[in-house]
Amino acid sequence: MKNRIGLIVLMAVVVIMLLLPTLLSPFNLVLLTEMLLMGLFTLSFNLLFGYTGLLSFGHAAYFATGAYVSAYLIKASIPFILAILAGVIASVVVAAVLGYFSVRVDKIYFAMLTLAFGMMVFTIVFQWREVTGGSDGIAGVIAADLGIPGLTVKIQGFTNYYYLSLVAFIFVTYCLWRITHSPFGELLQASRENAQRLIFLGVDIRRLRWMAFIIAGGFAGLAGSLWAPFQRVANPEIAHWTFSAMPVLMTILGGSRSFFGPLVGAGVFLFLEQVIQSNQRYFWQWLASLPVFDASLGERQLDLWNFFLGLLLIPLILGFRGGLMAYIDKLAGNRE
Amino acid sequence: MPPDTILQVTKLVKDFNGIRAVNEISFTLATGTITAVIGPNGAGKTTLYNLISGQLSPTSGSIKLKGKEIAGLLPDKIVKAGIGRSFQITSVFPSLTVLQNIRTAVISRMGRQFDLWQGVEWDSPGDDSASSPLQRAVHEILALVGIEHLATNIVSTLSHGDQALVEMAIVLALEPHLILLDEPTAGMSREETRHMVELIRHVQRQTGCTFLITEHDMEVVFELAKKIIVMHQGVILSTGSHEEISNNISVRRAYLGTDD
Repeated sequence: MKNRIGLIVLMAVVVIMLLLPTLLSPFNLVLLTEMLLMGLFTLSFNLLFGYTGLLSFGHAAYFATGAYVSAYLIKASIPFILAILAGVIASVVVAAVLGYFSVRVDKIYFAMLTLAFGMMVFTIVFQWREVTGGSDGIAGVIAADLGIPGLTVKIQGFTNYYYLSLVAFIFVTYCLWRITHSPFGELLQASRENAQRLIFLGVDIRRLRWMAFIIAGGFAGLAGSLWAPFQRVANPEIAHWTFSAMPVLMTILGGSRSFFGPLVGAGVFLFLEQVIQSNQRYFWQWLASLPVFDASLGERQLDLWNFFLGLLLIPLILGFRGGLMAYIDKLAGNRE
Repeated sequence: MPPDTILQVTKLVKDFNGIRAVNEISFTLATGTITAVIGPNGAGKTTLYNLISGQLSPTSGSIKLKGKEIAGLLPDKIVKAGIGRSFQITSVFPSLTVLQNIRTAVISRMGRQFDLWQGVEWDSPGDDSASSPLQRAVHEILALVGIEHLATNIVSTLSHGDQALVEMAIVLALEPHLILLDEPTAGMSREETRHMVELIRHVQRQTGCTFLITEHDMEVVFELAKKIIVMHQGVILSTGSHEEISNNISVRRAYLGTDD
């Protein structure tokens, strides 16, 4: 019964997402595409965080690897689809190497080690000007067509790119759904609960975690590979550790123990960011109109978003660890 | 080594920074028997367990399971060789259900830890797809331990006694040849202790499994074990049947720390 309702909701969401381009302005469609790609990134992160209990603070490294490789190859006129594939393969390779060492530790040491590796990747991206363009990044990443021989699939334009992202989004979500509900996925959760017990059930826990790390890195790489042509640029910002914090915050917001939590978190996060950043000037204007403040306050474009985000996260962390999804589940009267 | 010997421990030694916790211990376990290791705290029982199960690597000596050397192997390899263990402090997966706990062990035994795609097929006994070998295996264990009625409960919500049963079920799900139980009745009520003793006996008869048990409760030891190994300060003080051990007044007075 519960499964059937879930399926209907899921189908409805997919239908709505297919119809959205006819309803939304191009501006909002861009925001929506951003939500899809960041959603993918966050969902891949949560395979490690929510399911395996490993907090990666360097997940941007794999996103950036995908983004830079695809950007570089698209600029070199390699067909789009091959560039994306290469981006994914590159991030899988990087995740395999860095993950091999990272999974030798857990808890805070894992977080610190992934952070360190992430900063190493950032340094390479930032310094290797000849290839990565240094602080400028790789700009002008434009592809018109998917690049499958004998088949014309236009991907330029907001609507086309939205549909492309949606296909990738559905594909990754389905894959991760299968993986988290597989025997492997069950062992990941068990390893999060009690690693020692799992070792004494005959499981090579390092290999298990390594595999999760590689899968998470690969899907983050796919999100990144699609990100660069979407933004038309791969810039070092997406390799920085502050970008690694994005999926962490989005997951806390949406809820790490629910499969869809990270997606909800990413969507709500970007939506609120948009709403606040496009309306904050009213707040400053209002503040400036008060006699106690200087009138020049109204002209300054001070960013309120991070302050607001902090306000939002505090009660979630203190009182509602399950994030928004736990709240939604409670309203719907069921538990995952 | 006689054919019915499942475990042969020879001159096993473990040093910790110059302190010899286990000192040239040798003994054998016959297939399908229940043996108890007793002795005061610090006698080296848990160290012995950790050596056999691979948590510790021995300083010297040999441990042979069915004739194969396992001393110094990693814990997961020793499990694969056929030894399952419980812990003194009950070790389970607290926020998963009883069913998921057991399924975890079954997945490992079936070598399906890298099966990324096949669904675990069912979440509760309600959604029946009895064809799944995974489901059948889990059900068999639930039935063997007699905890079918707890299948969908989250383990952390269960009583200590029931959690110990879950741990037992997890270990059994590995279908080991040898099971090491570290104080299986510690902290249990009289009734729970009774139940655990019955269960161990029942499982032993059903599966023909060999048990090595440490236990403080002498009643439990005498009831279950054909052979008793008395340890003290890292050495084996005496080995024998419960009559032999219980008649050995000096052993009891000096080392068992019990008056019964």
